[in-house]
Amino acid sequence: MSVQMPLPDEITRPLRRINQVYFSDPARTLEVPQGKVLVHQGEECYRMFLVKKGLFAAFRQAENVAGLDLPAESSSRGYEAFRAEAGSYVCVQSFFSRMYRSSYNIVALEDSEVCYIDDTTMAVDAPFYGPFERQFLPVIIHELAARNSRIFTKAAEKEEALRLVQRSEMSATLAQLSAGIAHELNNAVGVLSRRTEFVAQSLEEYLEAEDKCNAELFRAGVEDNSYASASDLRSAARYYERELELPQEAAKVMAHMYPDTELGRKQTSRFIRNLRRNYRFWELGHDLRDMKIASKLATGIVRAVKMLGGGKSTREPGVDVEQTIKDALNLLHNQLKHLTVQTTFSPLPPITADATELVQVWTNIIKNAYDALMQDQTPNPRICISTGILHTEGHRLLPSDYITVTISNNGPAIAEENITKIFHPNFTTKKLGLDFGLGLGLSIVRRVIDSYRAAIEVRSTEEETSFIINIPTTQIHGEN
Amino acid sequence: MEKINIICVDDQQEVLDSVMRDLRPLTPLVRLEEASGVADCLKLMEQIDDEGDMVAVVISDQVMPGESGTELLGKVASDKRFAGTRKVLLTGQATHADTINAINEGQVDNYVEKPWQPEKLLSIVKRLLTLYILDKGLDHTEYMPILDNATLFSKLR
Repeated sequence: MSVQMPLPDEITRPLRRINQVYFSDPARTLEVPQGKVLVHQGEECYRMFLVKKGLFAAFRQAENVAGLDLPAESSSRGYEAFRAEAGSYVCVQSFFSRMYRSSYNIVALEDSEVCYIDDTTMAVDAPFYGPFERQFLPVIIHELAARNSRIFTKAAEKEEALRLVQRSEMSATLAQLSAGIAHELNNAVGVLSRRTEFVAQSLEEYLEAEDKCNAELFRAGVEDNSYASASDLRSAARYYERELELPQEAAKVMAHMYPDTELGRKQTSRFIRNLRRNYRFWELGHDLRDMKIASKLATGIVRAVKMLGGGKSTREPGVDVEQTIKDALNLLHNQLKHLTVQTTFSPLPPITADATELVQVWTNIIKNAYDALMQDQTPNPRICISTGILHTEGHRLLPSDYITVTISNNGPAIAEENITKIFHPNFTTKKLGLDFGLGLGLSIVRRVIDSYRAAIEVRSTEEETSFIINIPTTQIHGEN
Repeated sequence: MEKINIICVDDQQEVLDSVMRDLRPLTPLVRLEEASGVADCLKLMEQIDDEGDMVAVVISDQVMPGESGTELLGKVASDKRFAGTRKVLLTGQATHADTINAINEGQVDNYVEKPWQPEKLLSIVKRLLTLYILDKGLDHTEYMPILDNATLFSKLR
């Protein structure tokens, strides 16, 4: 853990001599099997050790400090203060301070070997190398350097922990704020979207009873799903001006109703004579269509904001991650028709989770991939989703198994300056049409991922952009 | 007779439809055109110029894929063929920097915030159209119904 700065040669050369002269007596060499305690905390100890082989860890037990409640996992052997590998000295402070009392439990993590000196050890070659303390100065400096670097590491860890706390405070504020906004907007948007439907329906019924032809035009306006670009509309208008000899205004109206000139050409001259009147019904329908689209968008935004505000999260055991991915794909079914989706599922253990939250995570990431592919107009757009289990090794405090979900696409690379920003609220690169970005998607993903103590990693190259999510299979409860 | 054009630029067709609708009272005395982005607008202006027609006002959205509204208006401002063309930025999310650029680079004549009031937008465009017609020395009597009387009187006094 602690990275020691290399000591200069003037220190290491004398150290080699000291190790040779003072720490090579076989009678003072001990074998310490793995798990054995070399020195107990608080125990009298007149020795100082050099670790010759193996690895030790120093644990410190809290000494009944009032108000200090250590977490359960560290209560059995105390918190780990440092590690000592071959070449390190142990009990330097207790030895040279003449306290002769260890501050730590020193435990062998591997089968190890140590050699020691004690308070009876005399200075060797004193006339040439000076008195005992003088000779051991490099050892003391070595120890100081080690302690120093330990403090730096701890400070850096603390900094990181503080940063995490700050981030969670920020998202908590954002969550409260957005929950409030979502609540206020929800009713308003609900009324707008419901009444738009209602007005559209009544109007259609009314027109149907009055005049079938007008009702037909109205319906065509409501159901219009041609996405003609402005330049398409212009060229269609020019076509109608030329071919049907319409004044420019009428031609424009025709272009709006029939961007496909093949269809427009087939309209009767009676229809065209009454164009202004006919257009009114079509336009009425078309307005309601736009209102429906807009209110649907607003509803989606409110739902997304509510989610960001951290709606009720009920986590239950037995959630099938694969199913949540399939749900997300179903939700996006309509958009995903335009591209290839490849899935590779491995058998996964059920986890404790809120299925809705997971669906939200996948939906946001997949939708982002889709938007990036569409905005970039990538040829042969493709999204690949795969799942698997990751076994971790080493000294992790977290549960050892992770479910890993990889969602990748062959869209454009995320610009380097953006890669750290993509999880920030309000960051977006989306600009297309009604489907513009809110910059909320990935910040919601981050919030949910954090609450599961999961990790998310982004890899982006010209060929492929991947989001890799690792969720621990064992969830720690009571965190949210 | 050469035609006077007013061009609206927005990447969202729904917004474009609304702007066009609000400016409809100006037709048929002037021609309303729509463009979906910067490139599309420049292409359209090229075409209008080729046909010997004029562009009186360009009303552009700021945030669009590719180039921004400010960039478009800047290009129009530096094009001699459209020297008198008036420029309006219509936007809902311009930053402080965007606004500065709009004035310095885009040389906008007016800045309208979304959502806009239809009457206000129409009166702004009428005023700019009046200035354009007077600048170009066109016969303003032909356009009387759609001109801004106050501007007309103050300039002709």
